[in-house]
Amino acid sequence: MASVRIQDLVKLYGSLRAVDGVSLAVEEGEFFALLGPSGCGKTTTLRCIAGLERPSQGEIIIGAQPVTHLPAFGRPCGMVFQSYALFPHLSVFDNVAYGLRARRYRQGGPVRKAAVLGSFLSQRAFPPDAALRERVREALHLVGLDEQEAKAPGQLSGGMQQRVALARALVTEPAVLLLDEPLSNLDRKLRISMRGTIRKIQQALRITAIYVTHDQEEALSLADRLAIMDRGRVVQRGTPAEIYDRPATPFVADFIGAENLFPARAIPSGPDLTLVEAGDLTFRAAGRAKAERVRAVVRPQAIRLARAEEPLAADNLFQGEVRFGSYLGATARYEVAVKDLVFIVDVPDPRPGALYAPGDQVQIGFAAESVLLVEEA
Amino acid sequence: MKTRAHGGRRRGMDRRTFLKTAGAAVASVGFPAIVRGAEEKRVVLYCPESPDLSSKIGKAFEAETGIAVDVQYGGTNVIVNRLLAERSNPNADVWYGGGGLLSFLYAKREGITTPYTPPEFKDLPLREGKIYLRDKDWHFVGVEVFVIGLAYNPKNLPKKDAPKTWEDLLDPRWKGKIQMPNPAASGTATLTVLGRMMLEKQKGRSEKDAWDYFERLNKNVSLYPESGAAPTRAVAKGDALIGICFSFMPWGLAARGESVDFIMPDTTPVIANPVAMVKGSKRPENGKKLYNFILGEKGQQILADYSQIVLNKKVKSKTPMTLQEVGKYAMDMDMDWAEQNYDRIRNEWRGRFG
Amino acid sequence: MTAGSGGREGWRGRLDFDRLAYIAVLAFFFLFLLVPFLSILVVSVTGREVNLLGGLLGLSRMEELARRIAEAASAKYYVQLLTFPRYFRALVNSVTLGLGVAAACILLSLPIAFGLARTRLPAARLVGALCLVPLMIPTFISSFAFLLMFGKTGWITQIISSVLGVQEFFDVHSPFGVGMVQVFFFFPYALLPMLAVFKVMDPTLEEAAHLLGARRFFAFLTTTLPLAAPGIGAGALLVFVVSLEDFGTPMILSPRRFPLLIVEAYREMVGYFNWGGAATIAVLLVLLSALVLLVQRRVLGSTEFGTITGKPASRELIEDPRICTGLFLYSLIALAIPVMAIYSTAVQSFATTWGAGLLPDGFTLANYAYVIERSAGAVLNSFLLGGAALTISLALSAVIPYLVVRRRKVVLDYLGFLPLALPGVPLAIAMILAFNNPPLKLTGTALLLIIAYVIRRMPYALRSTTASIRAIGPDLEEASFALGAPKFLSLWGVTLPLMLPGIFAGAIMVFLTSIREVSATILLAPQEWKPMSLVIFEGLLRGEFYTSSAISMILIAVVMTLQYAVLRLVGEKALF
Repeated sequence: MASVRIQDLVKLYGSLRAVDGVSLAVEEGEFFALLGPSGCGKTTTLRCIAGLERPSQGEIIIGAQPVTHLPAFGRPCGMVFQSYALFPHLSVFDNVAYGLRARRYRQGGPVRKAAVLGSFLSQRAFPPDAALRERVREALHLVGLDEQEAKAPGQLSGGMQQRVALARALVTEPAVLLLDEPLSNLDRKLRISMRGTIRKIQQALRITAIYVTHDQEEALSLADRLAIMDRGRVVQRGTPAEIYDRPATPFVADFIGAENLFPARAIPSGPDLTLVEAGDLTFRAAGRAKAERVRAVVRPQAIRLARAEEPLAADNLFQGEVRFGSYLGATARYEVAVKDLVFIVDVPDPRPGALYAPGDQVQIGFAAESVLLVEEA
Repeated sequence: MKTRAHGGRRRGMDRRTFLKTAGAAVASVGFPAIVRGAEEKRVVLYCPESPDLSSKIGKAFEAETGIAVDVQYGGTNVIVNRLLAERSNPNADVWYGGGGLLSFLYAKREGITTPYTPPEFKDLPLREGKIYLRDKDWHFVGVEVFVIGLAYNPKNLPKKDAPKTWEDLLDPRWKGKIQMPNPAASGTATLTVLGRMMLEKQKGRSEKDAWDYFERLNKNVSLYPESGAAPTRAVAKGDALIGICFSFMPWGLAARGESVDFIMPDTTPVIANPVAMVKGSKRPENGKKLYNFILGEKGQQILADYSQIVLNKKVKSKTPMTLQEVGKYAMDMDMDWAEQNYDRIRNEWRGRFG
Repeated sequence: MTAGSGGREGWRGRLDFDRLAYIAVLAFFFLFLLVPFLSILVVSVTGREVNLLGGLLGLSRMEELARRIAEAASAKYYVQLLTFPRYFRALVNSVTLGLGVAAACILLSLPIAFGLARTRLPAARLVGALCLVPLMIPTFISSFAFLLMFGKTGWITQIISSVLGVQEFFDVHSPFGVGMVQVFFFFPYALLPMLAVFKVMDPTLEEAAHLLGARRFFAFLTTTLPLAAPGIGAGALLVFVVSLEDFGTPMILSPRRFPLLIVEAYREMVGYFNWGGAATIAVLLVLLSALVLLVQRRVLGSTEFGTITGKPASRELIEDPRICTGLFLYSLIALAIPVMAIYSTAVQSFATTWGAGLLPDGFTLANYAYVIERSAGAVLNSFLLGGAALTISLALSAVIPYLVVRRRKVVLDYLGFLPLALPGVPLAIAMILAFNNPPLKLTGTALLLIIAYVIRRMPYALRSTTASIRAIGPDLEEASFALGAPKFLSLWGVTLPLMLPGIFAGAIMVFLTSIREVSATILLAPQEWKPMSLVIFEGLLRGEFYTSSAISMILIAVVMTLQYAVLRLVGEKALF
C-alpha cells in the first residue's frame, strides 16, 4: 500500500491542455475520487498515473518511487477499466491469472518463459501450479465469483464481468488500485450494490484506491477524500462533507447538484450576517461573505413549504405560487415562483392528500444557515 | 421540395430511360463485333506461325485482293483442338502451319480438312527425296520445309564446341543448358519426339530406347517453354546454350542482327509445313484465293524473307542452305505411323516429363 | 410501411420493381453461373460435350439428354484424377503450394501490419501505398520480371554471384520460384485483413495486459495475436485460393516436374482435347476454392473481430525508435521486390537486347514504337472489354445489394460471392462447354468473355456496394416513402446517390481486375478482341520479351492510375 503524489502534472494533446497543472496527494490506504464532467481531464490524469499516457510535464511518485518515466508494466498499479477489458479469448480463471503469469514470464529464465507461453496455448500441457491456483481462487472468492472460473467472459453478466476485472486487478497485490468509471455501464441498482462491494474490498485490503467518476453521488458516497476537476484543473479538494457543504465555486456547487443557485450581491451587515440580494428578493445568510458577487445556494431539502394561510416561521420567508409539481415517491418536488425567482422545493414523505397543485398560493421558508454563499469564480 | 404527384408516370419514364441506357451499353459492345467484317470481303485463317508473319501475309493478301484476313493465333495443338471443337460449325477457312505436316495428317484422319488441288501446283510430286511435299489425296500442300536442329549463340558457345549430333546432347556438360519446347503446346517438340521414335525404329530398336534417350536428355534440359520459338530466343538472350528449334527461328533472328546460329544434326526430321482448306468452311472461295496466295510468288516471297526454305521454285530462299542441301540431312519418316501415334506419344511424354 | 402515395400503387410498385429485379438477377446467375457449372459437372462424368442448355429449354431434348448422360456416365475421370500419378501430383502440388505460400505470406506480412497499425512508422503513408503495388501487377508480368531479376542471367542474380561467388542464386523455374513470386505478389491479400484487425482491436485490452505486468512482447503474444487470429486466418485462406487459381506464374516459369491443377485443366482442354479430364479438374478446383472461401467467411463472421468493444479510443502508437526503424527497414525490403519488378520490366521495355549484364546492351524506343503500331488495338480492346464488364457490373451491383440487404434475398448474397471460387480456367472451360451450341452459342464472341469477367469479378463490386447500402439505414428510404415517393423513385433519388461512391469504386475494381485477367481470356477471347493481357502473355510465351515488356508497362501504368483513383474514392477496404 503506497501513497500517490502528483506534482504539476500537465498533459498536452497538440495544443489542447487536457491536464493543466494538477497536483494531488493521496494517502496510503485512502479511497480518493476524481470527480468531474466529461473532458475535465480526470481519466487522463488516472491514465498518467497508470503509465498509459506519458505526461508532458510533472512528476508522479508512488510510495517513495518516482514513476513518471516508468512504463506501465513496471508500475505497482492495478487498474479496472470502464469497459472491463476482459480478455475475450481467455477464461475467467486465465483472465485473473494473467498478471501472475506475466510476472513469472518477466522474472523467469528462458525455460520459464517457454512454459508460461505454453500455458496460453494448452492448459492441459502446461497446467497452473497449486500456488497460482490458490491465489486466483482467493481473488475470485474475494469478489464473490467462486464458481465461475471456467466460464468465458462473454457468458457472464455485466456485474460479474466487472467483478472479474476487479479480481484480476487485485490478484497481483498492487500498491495502488486505479478505477476508471468502472460502474458506468451497469444499471442503477447494480451500481449501488457494486459500490458497496468495491468499498468493502478496498477497506478490507487497505489498498490505496483512486476512483474516477462523473457521478457525484458515487464519489460522495465512496470517497474518503475527493478532488473536483474542470477543464484540466483541480477546482476543489476535500472530504465529501467539505465539498458538499462548502462548494468553493459555482461550478462545484452546480456539479455537486445544487439547485436554487442564484447570482446575487452580498452585503455584509453584521459580524455574522450577510444580506443577499438575489433578483428582487433579499435573503439573510449566516456568516460573512468573502466577496460581493456571489451565488446564493439554498438546498431544496432545506426549504419548508406551507400554504399561504398556514402559519410558518423562518429567517427567510416568502410568498409564492406553485408552478409545477412532481411526485417522486419518497419526496415531492415543487417549482415555486417567488417574484422573479423560481425555487425548487423538496418535500419529504408527502402525504398523497396534501399535495400541492399548480396555481396554489404558498409560502416558503428557510434558515439563514441554509443559505450557502459561493464566490463567483 | 418537389411533390411526387405524378408518381406513376415519373416512375415509368425512369425505368424506361434506365433500360434504354442499359440496352445502349450492351449494344455498344456487341455492335462493333457484328460490324467487323462483312462476309464477302473476309476470310479466316488459323495459323500457329508467328503472328508477325501471318499478319504480314494477311495484309499483303488484302492489299492484292481487297479481302480482309482474320488471323487466329494459337500453339499448333491449340489450333488443332480448336478446329476439332468447331468442326460442326467451322469458323476457319484456311489453315496454314504448325510443326510440319504431322498434325495435318492427324487432322485429315479426324475429317477436318477437305481436298483441294491448287491449279498452279497440280503437278507437284508427292515427295522430293525423303521429303513429302504434299498429301497424297491433296488434303494439304507443303508451303515450306522445316528442319529440326539446334540453335546456339556463338558469343557464348563457339561453333567448334557446339554439339553436332542428337547424341551429343546427352553429354553431361550440357546439363541445365538445353531448352526444348513443350510438346503439349508446340509442334516443333512433338515432331522432335516423334522423329526420335521413328529413328529408333529404323535402327531396329524399340520405342523404349527412344524414351531412354529422352530420359537422359531430360537431365540436361533446363526448361520446356510453351512455344516453339522460345528456346531460340532464350539462346539469343543467353539463358540457355542450346535450343531445339526449327531452322528458320535462329536464321530469322540472325537476319535481324541477333547473335544466334543454327546447327543441323546428322539425321534430323525434315518436313514440309503445309496449308489446308478447312472442311465445311463458310467462305471457300475466299479461302482458295488465300491458299493460292500463300503458295504463289508473293506469299512465298514473304516467307523467304522470314528465312523459310520455300517450295515454290520461282522464289529464291534466303537461307544458308537450300532444299537440296537440307535433303541430305533428312531422315526417313513413316508418316502413317507418326499420324496414328501422334496423340499417344504426346500423352506419354507428358506423363513422363510434364 | 407502404408508400405514401397510396397503398395499392405502392404495392404494385413493389411487385413490379423488386420482383422484376430479383427475377432478372436470378436469371442472370442461373444462366451464367449455374448452367456452366452444371455443364462441367455433366461433362466430367460423361466425357463428351453435352448441350445442357438446349436440353433444359427444349423439353423434348431433355429426355434424349438425360438418356445420353445416363449411358455415358462414369466416374472414370474422377478415378483417373486420384490414380493417375500426374493428376494426383498436381492436386498435391497445388494444395501444398497454396498452403506454403499462405503461411509465408502471413509471416511476411505480420511485422508490416503491426508496424503500420501500431507504431509510428516512418513514412507510413509511403509504406502503405507500396503495399498495394503488388496487387496491381498481373502475375504473368511479375513472374517474367522475376526471371529478369533472379533468372540465370538476371541482374540481381549477377550482383549476388559477384558478391557471394555463387553461380546460381536459386532456380526460378522451380516450385520454389513459383512460390517466391506468389509470396511477394500476393502478400497484400494477407496484409490488409491483418492491418484491419490490428487497427480495430480494442486498445484497452492491451493496456490491461500492460498494467498486469506484461511486457510488450509477452502482451503481443498472449493478447494481440490471439485476438487477431480471425483476420490472420481470413488472410491466409484468401492467399490459398489466389495461389490455387494462379495461372500466369506457372505458365511463364514452367517449373519442371511440378504439375499444377490449374495448368493441367488448361492443357487438358487446349492441348489434349480431353473434355472429360478438363471438366473434372475444373470441378475439383471449383469445389476446393468454394470450400476454402466458405470456411473463410465463417472464420471472418464467427468471432466479431472489429466489434470487440467498439470504442475508437485514441491509441498510443509505439514510438520506440529501434522498433520503428527496424520494422520500417523490414517493410522496405519486403516491398522492394515488387518495385524492382516494375523497374526491371521498365528497363527491359527500353532495351535493345539485354543478356548477361546489369544493364541492357543498348536503349531504344523501338519496342514502344512497335507496340503502338501493332498493339494499339489491344489497348483499345482492354478498355472496351473492361468497360463492358464494368457497365454490366454497375447494373448488377446496384441492384443485388439492395435485394440482399433490404429484401433479405440471402440466396443472392451467396450467389454473388460464390464466383470468387471460380478460378478463371475452370470458368472459361465451363462457359465454353455450356455455350457452344444453340440456343445460346456464345463461344467465340466477346460477349461470353465479358460475361466471364463479370461473373468472376462481380464479387469485388458487390462487396463495396453491399457495404455502402448497409451503412445507409433503411430509415432514409422510409422517410422518402413517408413523403410520398414510390419505391423506385426513392431508390433512384435517395438510396442510389448515396451508394454511388461505393458503386463506382466497385465498378472500377471490376474494370481493373478484368484488364489484368488472362486465364479466362486465353480460352475465351476471340482474335479480334485480344486485350493487352493476352498479347503480353502470348508474347512472353513466345519469347518476345522486349515488346511484351513495353506493353506490360502500358498495362501497369493504366492499372496504377486507375487504382489510385479508386483509393481516393473509397479507401483501402474497397480493394477486395
